[in-house]
Amino acid sequence: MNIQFKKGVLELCVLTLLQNDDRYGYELVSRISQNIEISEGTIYPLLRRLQKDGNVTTYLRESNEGPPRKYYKLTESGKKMCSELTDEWFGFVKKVNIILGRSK
Amino acid sequence: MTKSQFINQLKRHLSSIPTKEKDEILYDYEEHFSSGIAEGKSEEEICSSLGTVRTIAATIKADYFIDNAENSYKPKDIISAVFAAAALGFFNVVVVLGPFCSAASVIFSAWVVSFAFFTAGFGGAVLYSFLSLFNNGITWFGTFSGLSFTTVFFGLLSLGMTGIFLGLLCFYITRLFFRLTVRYLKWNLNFITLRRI
Repeated sequence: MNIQFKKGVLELCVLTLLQNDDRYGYELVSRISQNIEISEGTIYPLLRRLQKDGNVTTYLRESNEGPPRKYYKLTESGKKMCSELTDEWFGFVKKVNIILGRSK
Repeated sequence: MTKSQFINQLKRHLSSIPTKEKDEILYDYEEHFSSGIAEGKSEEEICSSLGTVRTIAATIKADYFIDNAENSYKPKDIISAVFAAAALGFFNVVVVLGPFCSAASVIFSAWVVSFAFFTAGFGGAVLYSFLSLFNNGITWFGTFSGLSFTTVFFGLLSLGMTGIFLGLLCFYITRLFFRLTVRYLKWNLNFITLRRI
């Protein structure tokens, strides 16, 4: 797969996973790496970037196992970014499918 | 690799980042380990799926220093950002460090030239008028070249003024250069991080 494409997809995956629930880092990482092969360590810089750009916020919540966990929560601009990226993704898939002859 | 080895290596690689920021970053990885262990993974397994410390640290540093440069535009911060970006791989040494150094040396030479004009012009004018006090308005240079005091004096003054003008020009060019550098680095970082995931 085109690598440049992969990062946008990774962002989209993170944002989508956060759409309905706030999640902690490990949860995000393991959900994504179940399906897509990634260097898991690179998700954290991506999360920091999303946070710095104001697309997610974080808060700490106690956990039963070990130290408190940092939860990520989508902001309004994050939601907007998510829906834009989703549209882009489906638009792209549709066009590729046309080329592949899988749709009319 | 064990958890503590990983964390210590990462800490060492991030020594140039302020403690507060570094602690936040390290916390994320510590948490990642404890969550993984709670799910029954071994430290070794977690380390190998995280990827290499070098790669992770280089990405974090480039991100941090480019951000920093964008907020300050100080030469020192710009240079740190350029080097952090260059550390992302050989490709970046070629497309970041090379062009940056060539452009920076041209700009630096322009600064040296304007400074030379400035000092030679005004310093010369002062020295020339001082010398001419002892010579009734005509110095050895004036006599030698056949030029009047006024001509030489104002010639020197305009040389100095040219220095100031060039200096201002250099100032604006340097500022523009810094802006463009940061913008390019941000674009480059986006492109490079994509290649690393």
